Amino acid sequence: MASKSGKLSESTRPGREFQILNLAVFSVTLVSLGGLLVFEFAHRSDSLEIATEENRALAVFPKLTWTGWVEGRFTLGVDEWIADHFPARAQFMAGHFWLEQRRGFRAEQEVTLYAVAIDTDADLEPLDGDLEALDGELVLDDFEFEDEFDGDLELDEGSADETETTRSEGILVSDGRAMQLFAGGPKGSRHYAAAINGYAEALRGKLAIYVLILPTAQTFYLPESYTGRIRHEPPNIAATYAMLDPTVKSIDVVGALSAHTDEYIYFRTDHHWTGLGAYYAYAEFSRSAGFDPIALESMEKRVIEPFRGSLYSYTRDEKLRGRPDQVEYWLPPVAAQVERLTSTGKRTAYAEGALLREQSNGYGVFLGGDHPLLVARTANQSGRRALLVKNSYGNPFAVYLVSHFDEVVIVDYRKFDASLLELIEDHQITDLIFINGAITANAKTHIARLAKIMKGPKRKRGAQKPAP
Amino acid sequence: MVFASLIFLYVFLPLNLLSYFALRRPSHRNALLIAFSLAFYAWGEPIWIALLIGSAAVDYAHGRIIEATRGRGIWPKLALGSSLVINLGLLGLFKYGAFVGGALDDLLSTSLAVPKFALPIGISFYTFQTISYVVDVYRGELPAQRSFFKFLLFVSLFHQLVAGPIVRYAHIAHEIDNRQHTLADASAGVTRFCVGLFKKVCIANVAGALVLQTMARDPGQLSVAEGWFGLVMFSLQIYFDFSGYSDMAIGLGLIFGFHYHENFDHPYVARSASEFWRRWHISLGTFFRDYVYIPLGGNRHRPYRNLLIVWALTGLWHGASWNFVLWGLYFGVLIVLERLVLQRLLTALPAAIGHVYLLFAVVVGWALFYFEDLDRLHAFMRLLFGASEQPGYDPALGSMVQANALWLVLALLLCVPLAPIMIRARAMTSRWRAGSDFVGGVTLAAFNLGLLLVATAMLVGRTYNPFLYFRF
Repeated sequence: MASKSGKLSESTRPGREFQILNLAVFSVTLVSLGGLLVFEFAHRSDSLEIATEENRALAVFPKLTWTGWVEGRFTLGVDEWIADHFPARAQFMAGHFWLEQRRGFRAEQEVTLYAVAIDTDADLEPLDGDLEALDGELVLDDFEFEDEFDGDLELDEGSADETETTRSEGILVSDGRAMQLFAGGPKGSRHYAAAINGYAEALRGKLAIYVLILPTAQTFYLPESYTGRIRHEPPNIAATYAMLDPTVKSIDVVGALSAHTDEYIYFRTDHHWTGLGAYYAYAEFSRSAGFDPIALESMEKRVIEPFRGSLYSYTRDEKLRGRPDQVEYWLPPVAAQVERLTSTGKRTAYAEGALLREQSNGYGVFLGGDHPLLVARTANQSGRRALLVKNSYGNPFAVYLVSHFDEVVIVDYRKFDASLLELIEDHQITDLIFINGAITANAKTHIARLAKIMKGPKRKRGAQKPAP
Repeated sequence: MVFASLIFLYVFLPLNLLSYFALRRPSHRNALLIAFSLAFYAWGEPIWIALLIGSAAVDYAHGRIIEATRGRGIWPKLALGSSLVINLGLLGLFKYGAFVGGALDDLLSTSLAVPKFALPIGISFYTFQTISYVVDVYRGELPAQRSFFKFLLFVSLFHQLVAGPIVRYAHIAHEIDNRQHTLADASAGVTRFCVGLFKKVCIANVAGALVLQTMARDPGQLSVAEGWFGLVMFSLQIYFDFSGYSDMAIGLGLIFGFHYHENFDHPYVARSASEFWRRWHISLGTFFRDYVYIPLGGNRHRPYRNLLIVWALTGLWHGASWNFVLWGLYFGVLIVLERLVLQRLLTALPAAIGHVYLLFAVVVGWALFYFEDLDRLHAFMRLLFGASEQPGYDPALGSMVQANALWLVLALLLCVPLAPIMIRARAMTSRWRAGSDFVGGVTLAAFNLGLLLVATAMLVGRTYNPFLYFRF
């Protein structure tokens, strides 16, 4: 039964020279790759480096502290540093993806499910190769969710639902198109509606409030075999809308887009909608807000290509690689002065912003990425001033708004760290617009964030405005 | 630290190999191995390293006391008792404290505030190693180790410290002082290590990902076929994970001149539960045989009671939760049944029936092992055996199987003893193929390099962490 190991019979044992060869190949591989790693370590820099393929900053070697060691943060940090700086990392990575795609066979019309839980609350944003933006934002924007949540939202009914509402179920690739799978539920609807209703309550009679919840590509492009296996967005969106305060105008984005599903309204390799998709939502919004949408044909169209987006980055699916996207955008007919401000409303050193940053290589063209606070001023004389509360889905949408409002204030609620009520007062806002994808409209931390910035962080409010 | 990590493969191991073989004197080499082993342990478990060293000190002292008082009345027995109380007490405190507390609370409707500790890595393994040592010394089968450092080397040796095999002191006592380092052993060790690494990274981890997509999900969302597929994937995961780790430990041992016993012998080709357990985690099975089953009376005195005790303990050793007890008893009952009737039946029937019986029994057993939550276990069992409302099949499974077909064939092939078959085939062909030694020798080195690089690519790939603009 239990025999001593390593006793090969004489006839099968390789000759002495081959034993040496075997040992030499093994040790040389370990020592040389290890040596390169040590070299990399000795020449490491403390400044941020960027992995362009992965659109993120590489890990920085951790500082050794006693508590860091005991709590395992140091060793974890070292592991992350090694992972990010491994010799020939790109080649090994390519090898990994090559192998992964060859574990079996894939039919032409195949549906592939990358069942990864995607944390919608990951705390970095796309870098888009913009070092300036990186320095300005990556470091500045730390989220703080610890503060107690105002209002009567009961977000802690139990943790069972938490993973469902903050994570997407995975990525499905079908027919050269990747889509995220929705994982929201009734609880997400309730909480989102409650957060918006908080605004309606506080601002009753002062301005118009609009809500746009937009579906993801799954609502229009899911393969039939999957329809019974996933949660659907339209009923969830409808349920949220039904719970909104009657004074809030809900915009039927699903309806607006469903007339155009044979057009290029969603990227195939990215989780966002396209500028065209955003246009149809804007057109629908315009009718509700009481003005005529600018005709698409009357604007100059430009294109960035090729664009391989987030869902390609994540899956590295070869079918996606073979069919990259392009980013189409339209120049608004109205000029706007755009100012970038910090998350608390102060001007930053590089205050100039743009509605379109044309040197971007992808979705970042819209607003130049995500900024806490942008203020776009136009020469319009409508007497209306809009506040758009958005995440990255709102970026292409925002560009269309400048044609109608005297001023468009754009807040990324994930990064903004002051009071929206004060902002509304300061800018004499007449139209308040909330825009979310269905996934984030069901995500606990997003909803909490939306609710929290209504009045802003407590400490600052106290400091800025002494009680009367 | 774990073997299947970049830091072990490309920092720890090359440093250890270079420094070890740069030294000449055995005592220096031993000291170096202790230092590396403690560093290996401290990397992931900086606090409990004190427990490891303390535990080694206690058992070292007890070994010495037993030997010094041998033949002097009750003293050796007291020392043995004290060692067992301390060892099992520590294991009980760290591993079973919360479990026992919870069970007592349920039973007595109390609410005991039993402290809950994070389980120190490897405690189940090294505690059993030191228990076997003290018992062997007590039984007079071994002289006690006189040097604490040599004893610490036995306890802390990083090859088998965190995930076995459970090495008996008797097996390596001689090699602590007198190791032979041969090219043949080192070369075989490298091969064994690379194979183990591949099994862990390329089979077990991939199977684990498929488990997450099937078995780990809510049974209410799965078809029956997906349930079974997931369970088979878990059966592959646990076998390749554990046996891959043992392979790496045995391979490392060979490189450094230690010969550990085999821990796995293709368990899935067994034809009965008894045979399965002679092939699965052999070092644990023999531990319970030698230190529990036989002392209880073995086959001579109330064998069936003894079997059930051993199997309940075997189950409990795997984790402090009722499902593990259930899993152990499940095998206990199967083995009792086999002894009573089944074995005779199985020998009479064609071999294929034995294989089918064993695979079915083991695979279903893994469900007991997987679900610590008994409600989920119940729901999953209902799914497996068609007692739920779920559909029998779903097309998504078809594409999952198809997308992993080549890997699946490889994984299933690796469950059967291929190496002996290949060696036999090679011996046959080499007779008429001139230069096959050369081809074979070069192939072996290239094969191992291939395994190492593929595993490295998979490890690097797992760290692929694109920032997806998923914060919307």
